[in-house]
Amino acid sequence: MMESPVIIIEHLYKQFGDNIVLSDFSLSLKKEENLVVLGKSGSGKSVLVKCVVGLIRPDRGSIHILGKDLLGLEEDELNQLRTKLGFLFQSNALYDSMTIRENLEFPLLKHHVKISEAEMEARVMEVLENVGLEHTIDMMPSELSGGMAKRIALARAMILRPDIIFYDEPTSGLDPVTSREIASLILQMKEKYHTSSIIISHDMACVKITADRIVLLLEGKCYAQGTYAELEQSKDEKIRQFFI
Amino acid sequence: MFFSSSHQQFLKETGSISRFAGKFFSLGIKPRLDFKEFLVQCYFIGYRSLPLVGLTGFIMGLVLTMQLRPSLVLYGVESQLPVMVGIAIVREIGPVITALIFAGKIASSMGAELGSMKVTEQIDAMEVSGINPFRYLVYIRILASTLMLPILTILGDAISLFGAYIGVNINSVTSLNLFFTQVFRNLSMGDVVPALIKTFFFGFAIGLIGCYKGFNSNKGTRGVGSAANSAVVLSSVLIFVIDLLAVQITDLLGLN
Repeated sequence: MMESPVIIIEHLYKQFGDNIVLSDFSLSLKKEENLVVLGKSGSGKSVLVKCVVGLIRPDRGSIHILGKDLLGLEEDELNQLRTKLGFLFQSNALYDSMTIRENLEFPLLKHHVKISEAEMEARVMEVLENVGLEHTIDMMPSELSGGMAKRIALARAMILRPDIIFYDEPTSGLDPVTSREIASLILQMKEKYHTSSIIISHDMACVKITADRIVLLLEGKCYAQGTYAELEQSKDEKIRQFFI
Repeated sequence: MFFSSSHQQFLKETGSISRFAGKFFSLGIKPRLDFKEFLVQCYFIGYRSLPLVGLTGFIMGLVLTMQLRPSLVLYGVESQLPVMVGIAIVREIGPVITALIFAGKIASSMGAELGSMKVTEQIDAMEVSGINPFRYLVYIRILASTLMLPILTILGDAISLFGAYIGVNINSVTSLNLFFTQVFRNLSMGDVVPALIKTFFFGFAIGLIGCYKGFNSNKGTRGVGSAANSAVVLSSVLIFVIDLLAVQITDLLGLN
């Protein structure tokens, strides 16, 4: 029997003033799938992903994550659900007054109050080893390069061992070599922790490496979906413009 | 139109601040205080403000005494100088000046810190990792501010009275014991208690406005500057409004 999707979004609408950002948008994310949401800048990709984690409330529609109706959850239930979600922000959003160690320990301390020192150290070192930055543990975020900060942000997103990770423009502002490294890390995370991911991107090199399936977001709607190869061969000009 | 757009903006802002305060009290019903972070905030908000409060308090006591002396000499009641200065400091000048200094230091710092966290998505990052940023950042800061200002006011009053003692001794010789005996003999509970109670409200207003402005900051770095600035302005105005209300209430209760 086929496993039910981990995320189901149906008929999502979001409007800011007169600007309709999402209009009847639907998608589903399967278990252990890397789904890329592709779209132009300002097409509403980030709004979509922020709706899915409950940072922005949609005007209409439904969002089910891991079988729970996101929009009907009480605050405590929503926070509980969020421990199963990881989020990599476009700006990294590292806590700039904390060291890297404190950045990584912070979610653990808040959610696993009784965690032992040794276990916490092991968890922190594990995620740092995953991104190859063990030596940065006592550094401040301001001392890191853009690529290093992105890796640490990824390590923080993984610290609670989430089932689903959201990547908001994971390679934006990075050079092509570092972008490829981040894209490879996304694949490694999926293989090691069996996570499902929604990746927001317009970096086609990253999309090609990471995507199991691509959803094209155009004018607030799901315009097309398919694998990279399928969409690359499309004759539709609106789709082709992303692959040129 | 009866309401201009600025009136509407004022009402909207008032409503928004009231909701923010309501959220604080609703969290207070089932408090889950991070005690370690609370102590850290008390240290930064309270202890780190003490040198500034102490210095301004000392100068204020000294200057007030020097300014009052000529008038009292004119009427031949120079001996009443410690009494007058004591009542003025404990009832009004101490709490208000300490609160204003506190607002300048703490409200701006809260506005800038939370505003910066807001525009760099650190507050969003906290929220998506399942941590309630209001409880962790706002609730603790408002609570610390509410509790620290009364303590700072007591210390500020003491330092200010010492400044007044130095001021008295510039032109005459009075012992420390005599000075403070004169001050405290003429102070009643009606002078001390209402003055102390209003400092809790001052502290609450400063914490609330500093956090509100920072938490609702937008428009990038300019928004952070604006949050810090408006936090100081609004909390300073609120201090005077609360002071006015406190005097009226004290009058109604017959404590004046």
